Amino acid sequence: MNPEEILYPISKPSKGSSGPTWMWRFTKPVIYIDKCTKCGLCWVYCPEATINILENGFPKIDYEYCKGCGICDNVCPVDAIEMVNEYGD
Amino acid sequence: MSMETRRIRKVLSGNHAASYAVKLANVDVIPIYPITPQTTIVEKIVDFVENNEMKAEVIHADSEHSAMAAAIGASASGARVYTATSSHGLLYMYEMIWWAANARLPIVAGFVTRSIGPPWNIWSDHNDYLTLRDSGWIMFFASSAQEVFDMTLQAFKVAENPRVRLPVGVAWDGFQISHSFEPVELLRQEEVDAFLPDPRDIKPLLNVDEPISIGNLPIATDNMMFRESIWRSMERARDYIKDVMNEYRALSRRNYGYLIEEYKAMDAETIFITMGAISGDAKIAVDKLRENGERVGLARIRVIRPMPVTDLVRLGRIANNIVVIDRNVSMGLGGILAREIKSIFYDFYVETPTYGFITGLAGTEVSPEDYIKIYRMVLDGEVEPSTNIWYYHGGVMK
Amino acid sequence: MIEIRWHGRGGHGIVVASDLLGEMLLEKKLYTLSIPVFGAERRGAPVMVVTRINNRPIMKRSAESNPDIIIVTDRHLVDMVDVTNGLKKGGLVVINTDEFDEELSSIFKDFKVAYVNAVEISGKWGLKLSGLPLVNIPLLGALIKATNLVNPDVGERVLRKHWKGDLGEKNASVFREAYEVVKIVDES
Repeated sequence: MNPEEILYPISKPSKGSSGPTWMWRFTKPVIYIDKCTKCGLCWVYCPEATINILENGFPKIDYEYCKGCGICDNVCPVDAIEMVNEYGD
Repeated sequence: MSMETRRIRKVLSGNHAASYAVKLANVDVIPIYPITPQTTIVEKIVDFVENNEMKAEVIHADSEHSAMAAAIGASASGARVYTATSSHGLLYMYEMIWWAANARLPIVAGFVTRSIGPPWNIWSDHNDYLTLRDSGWIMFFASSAQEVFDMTLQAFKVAENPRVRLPVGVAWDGFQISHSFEPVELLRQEEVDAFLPDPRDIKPLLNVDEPISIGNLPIATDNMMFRESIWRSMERARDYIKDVMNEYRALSRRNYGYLIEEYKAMDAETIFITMGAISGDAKIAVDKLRENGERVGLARIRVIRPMPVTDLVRLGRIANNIVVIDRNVSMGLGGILAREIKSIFYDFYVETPTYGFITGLAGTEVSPEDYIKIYRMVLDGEVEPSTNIWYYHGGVMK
Repeated sequence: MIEIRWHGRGGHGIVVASDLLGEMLLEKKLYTLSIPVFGAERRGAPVMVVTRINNRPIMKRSAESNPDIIIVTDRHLVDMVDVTNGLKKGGLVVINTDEFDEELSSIFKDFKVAYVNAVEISGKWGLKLSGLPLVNIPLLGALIKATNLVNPDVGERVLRKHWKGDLGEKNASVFREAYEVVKIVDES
């Protein structure tokens, strides 16, 4: 960066610019596919875009970058997501 | 000349002069929220749009904060954007004002100065506008309806320059200029089109094909470099503003000087420094004093940011006394212009006694007789060189 | 420089009238500056406009004035406001009143007076706003007659340009009628 130039405070979206953020995780979300109704709310609400919708319509979590915030668990209307302790009980 | 090539002269208020400049500048988006004494600017613009004299998107926002937020969004998409406000509206907009500068958006805004309450007051002083002074906005200040028109056009050219890319504010006094009617000569559409850059050349930050985030968290050193980049652009703007004003002067045949306007200052022993509507009365006082052989002159500040440092230092070296008229006050410090000018003088070893008078607050009168009284107070040694001499119309000292 | 001070109330239209006077004088390449002074910024409250006319750009923007002419839109303003304050000796008073009685005669004894019943003229041509007759344009007609500042034909043309169609016709008509019927008394 050179302050002689006009610097714009902008950034392009890129995968994992802060490194593999799974290391920030204490609890991780687990999806119970048998309960899932494919509503897609977890995909909408994930703040880090680490939930992808598969071809069959079910969500899949990218555990490399999921930080374990638990928002998906919170918004799931049918309790199909549970947060489990990363390091066991 | 045939009728088609002649410029139109109209009797306009300062606010309507701004509206005409916005129309001629082919502004794309005008997000607005009404407040006295700004409202008549956008009322006129809405008239233009409703009558199909102007093609623009007017956004009736739900607050000044939202109006500037909409201006930011529109400007980031590459549109030419104008908005305007006053006083409490400016303060409500304040967070977004900084956002606009830090995001390097070439928004142009009209700021019609008005006293800040309580108590309730619609008349002019400059404290509302001067809150912008650390934000990264380039700050113009006009003193007639004609100058409002001229400066508003110049503002777009300065803001959009790829080496500047900063928002520009154009201020003028509420009522004394905003609602006072006087003849204004308008440029013709072809002249404005040739003077201003093509709005399609504004580099958009946002592009649907290449998504970006604006304002994402950077590391602190980068963040500091963003600020230095604004600082450097502001420094470059000082020369570029002069270039733009020079080009405009050749086009319009109107001469106001550049960052400052000087009036009989060249050989003056005492120089008044003023800003805005009250400068005209000061010129009359200068004329009257000169008739009695007094060597007095005037410098009117037209651009406050970037500050006209070189001009002020030169005047400080010419004069034996500098008398700064502040239509504002920084509580606990003094008149803002007087304080800033004194600090510049200190940098350049200018030791000329500098007197700061605080006057004209809340729209109180400052007449030619007041300037003459102030002059006498300084020359007769009735006041010390301080920056907080409170002067009331008629000479009542409190 | 000629200074005119208008005394009216919010809603009387003196700001518009002074603006239009500027338009009329523009045709004579004269500079004008009309500075409004509102008190309460409300309909009915006393308001003031100072109009300055000169053959070169006008620098003075403070409202303090020593007018050559005052215009009073409502005779009751005389009881509320010191309308003649600073008016030059032998100056002109243009006033809207149904009669120039002894009271007015004594108040304005040092001045030249042009009086016209602007309410009646506007009422006759149906020029009303929110039920109140608009007195500004008849007073402008009276002013032009008493001062000869511009040719009344120019005045009518400016009014027709400002208000298109029927409204322009009505304003031009009240302007012309007031110009013709205004009575001028010079006791100074």
